[in-house]
Amino acid sequence: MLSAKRALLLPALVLAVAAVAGVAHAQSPLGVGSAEPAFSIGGPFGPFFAWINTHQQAFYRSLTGALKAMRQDPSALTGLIGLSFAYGVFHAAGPGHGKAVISSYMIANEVELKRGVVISLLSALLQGVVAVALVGVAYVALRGSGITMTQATQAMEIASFAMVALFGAWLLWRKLRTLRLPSIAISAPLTVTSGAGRGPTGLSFQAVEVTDHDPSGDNGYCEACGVSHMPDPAMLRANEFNLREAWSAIVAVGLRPCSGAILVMSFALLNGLYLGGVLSVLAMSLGTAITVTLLATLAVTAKDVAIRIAGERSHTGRVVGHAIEIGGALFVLLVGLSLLGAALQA
Amino acid sequence: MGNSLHMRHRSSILAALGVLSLPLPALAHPHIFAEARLEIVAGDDGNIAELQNVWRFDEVFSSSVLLDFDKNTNLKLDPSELAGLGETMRKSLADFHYFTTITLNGASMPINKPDVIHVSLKDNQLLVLFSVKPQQPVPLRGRLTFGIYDPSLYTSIDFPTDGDLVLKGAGFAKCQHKVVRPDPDEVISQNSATLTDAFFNDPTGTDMTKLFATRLEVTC
Repeated sequence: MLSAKRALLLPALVLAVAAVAGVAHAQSPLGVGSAEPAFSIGGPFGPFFAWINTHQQAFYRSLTGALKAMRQDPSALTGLIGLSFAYGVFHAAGPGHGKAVISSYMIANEVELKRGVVISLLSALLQGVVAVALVGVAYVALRGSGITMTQATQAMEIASFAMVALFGAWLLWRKLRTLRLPSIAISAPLTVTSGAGRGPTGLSFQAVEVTDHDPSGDNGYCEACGVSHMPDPAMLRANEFNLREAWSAIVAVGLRPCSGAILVMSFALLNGLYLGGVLSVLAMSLGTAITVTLLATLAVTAKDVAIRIAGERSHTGRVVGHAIEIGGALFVLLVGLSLLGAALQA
Repeated sequence: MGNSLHMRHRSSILAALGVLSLPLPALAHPHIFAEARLEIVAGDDGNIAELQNVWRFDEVFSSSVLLDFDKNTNLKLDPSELAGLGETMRKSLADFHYFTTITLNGASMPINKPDVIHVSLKDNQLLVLFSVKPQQPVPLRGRLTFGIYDPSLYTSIDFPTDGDLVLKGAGFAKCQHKVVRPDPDEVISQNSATLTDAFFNDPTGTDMTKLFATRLEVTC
């Protein structure tokens, strides 16, 4: 049973590591502005991502064009908002940690889809608000202070990625802890006696060694030793939606503003296009939220299908469920660590 | 453990779903756009003397640079601020070999750091001028290619017309040249196998970008 569990854990691990192995520079090659650390993707998805890349580039160029046009013609605003929205949709389908963290969190945690949508939306909106605030602060307070906007962005980026890594570590620790509890019970089944060894609570514990037995029974319940060897993942999940945890995910993701939004906002501010800049960034955030929600839903659905194929109530199904959830938590940790490494290198 | 064999049969389907359920990140995309002009100068000794670059950056990126380097908050970039910007670029671009690729009969020819990068701000657009020299003599013999591109894909360097890639000097008189502008769709379909290999062999995944870059091919 253990080897079967390992057999499934291993590919999950390898995939998680392979997916985050190639993180590019966090620094803009020109030394001004910070590039978003991005992952490289190859294999069958390579051409697809190249296609996404071409489109978001086209949308970005059109939207900066619309922004420039707004200086002469305020009616360009409607076009600008539409283009910003489209850019957000395509941009989120491309690089970035937001969707990686949120879908992994949802996979690791079986967050209700409805709540997943709210988390995606809030984190994307926070990213937009952070971009607007950052450029505003850079314009009003940072100029001449010796701290550049690039440095401020990098500091927030490091904080964001460190939070992502911590969040992943916490998800993983919690997941592994809940898995370990039942196995402790196997080696020390609880017996209540009223014998001499009674403690101050009136209860005493006696270790009973169960060695050779057949762990068979319904739903992994072991009739020989009286516990479930491989508990159902649903059993281990917190019933209540953990609000603090959701906010950690939102803040970890939202703290790192998107470079496109920063650039658009800087230009808007220097040209007095305040409304245009803010609405453009907001539209980008909405577009981003939609894509992140879609991808997270896709990930959760794929997980459910995998569990169903393996047999929902079967032992394999539970192993697959645990493996995917551990993989999700591990992925958040690795994404955070590799992005943090890239950000600190810059 | 009678079902362990069964499980192995399912493992390929499960692995495929596992891949699907993993969130997939991707390539960076350009946030910085520049229109470029490249002059390749031949020396009297029959080697490449230097490559002279002019880059004009887009207004949006230029405005974020202004926010970063306007130390005295007059919303202009003064000579000392421009000098600081040039030096920042000179240091930073070293990691990206100044976006310059020279090949001689297929072999890459390294370049030296430029002595200085000149930056000015005209009509809200940054104008960057610098020249680089090859580390070792690059003779005008055989097949030469010259390309300017950002391997990290963060900057898009665009040559508006073929006339923006120029050969200068008598040494090129006997050479033929043509500008090659790869069609991204064609590059992807022609190289889908090698592109995959390139992605897996090169952990930074960036080397293949040169396939998409505009280049000047010179045959002497």
